[in-house]
Amino acid sequence: MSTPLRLTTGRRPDGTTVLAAAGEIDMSNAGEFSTALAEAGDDGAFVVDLTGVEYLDSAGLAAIFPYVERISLIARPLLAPVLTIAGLDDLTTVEDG
Amino acid sequence: VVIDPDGKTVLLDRGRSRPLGVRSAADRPEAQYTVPARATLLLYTDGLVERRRQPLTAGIEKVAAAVREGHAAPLEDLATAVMDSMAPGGGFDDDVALLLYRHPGPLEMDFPAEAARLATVRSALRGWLARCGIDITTSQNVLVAVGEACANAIEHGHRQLPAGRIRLRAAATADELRLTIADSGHWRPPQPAANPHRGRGFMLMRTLMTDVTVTTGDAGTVVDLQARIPR
Repeated sequence: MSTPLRLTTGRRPDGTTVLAAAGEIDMSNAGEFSTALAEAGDDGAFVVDLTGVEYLDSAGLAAIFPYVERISLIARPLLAPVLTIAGLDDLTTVEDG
Repeated sequence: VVIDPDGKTVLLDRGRSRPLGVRSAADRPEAQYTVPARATLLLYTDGLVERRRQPLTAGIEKVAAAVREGHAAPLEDLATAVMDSMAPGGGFDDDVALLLYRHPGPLEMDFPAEAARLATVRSALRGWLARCGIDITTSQNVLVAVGEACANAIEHGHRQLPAGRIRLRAAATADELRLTIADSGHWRPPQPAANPHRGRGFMLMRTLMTDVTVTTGDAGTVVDLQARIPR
């Protein structure tokens, strides 16, 4: 079983680009996540929606760090401890559910 | 005797009957009991608790107290402690058999040091943590810390040995989880300045766990993680 991850890029009605990830992000698929971030981040600020992510470790954090100046994150409480330790809590909206 | 994770004693005495092998006209009673997560179960023969000139209940109370005292200790240590505390001055008169079980038993896995294996390992560990009755937050902390230890083993430990393996063992006591990740590689805890990504993984491990110990020896590297289970 390889690590399941689904990545979808879309636009909100106001034109904001949203990269939504669902599944788990570890060293086996952080490259894929990194590529999707690069594509979504082509034109400035964007949103990374991690609501569907059940696992994220330092490999996923390393993919996110290059974009900290122009992203905002959405995540479930499950990921809050890791995002806080990584100093990303100020960019993150934690949504229940 | 069952000692639950809060230290409460339950005596499994509802299936009481004459000894096996003694004929009895009546049906033997049966009773059911579900052992809660992280409780310790002790089954024993009468030689452990019977003492001349002492009521049987005194011996049973004494052994229950010994298990209660050690309900946070690893089972192997608890077995020794129970035998030591119950042995009469001149040694046991009768033969003694005892069986200790903590629910659920330890999780043991052995897998190739490959990134593609991580999801399967994580899924098995997640299931085991749920059977231990561990809350979601602690469980996620453990999954990330173990994930980081495995990633270290995969990235650093097996550059020269693509066929290396990783052994994972997880065990729970009443109030603590202990996880051991052992590999056959020789890596050192990364220096954050030299390798910010791996350094971050290490920092996550140290922050999420109560205690982290890394031992590198001739046979490989062992990462020992301990996490307190919140009440």
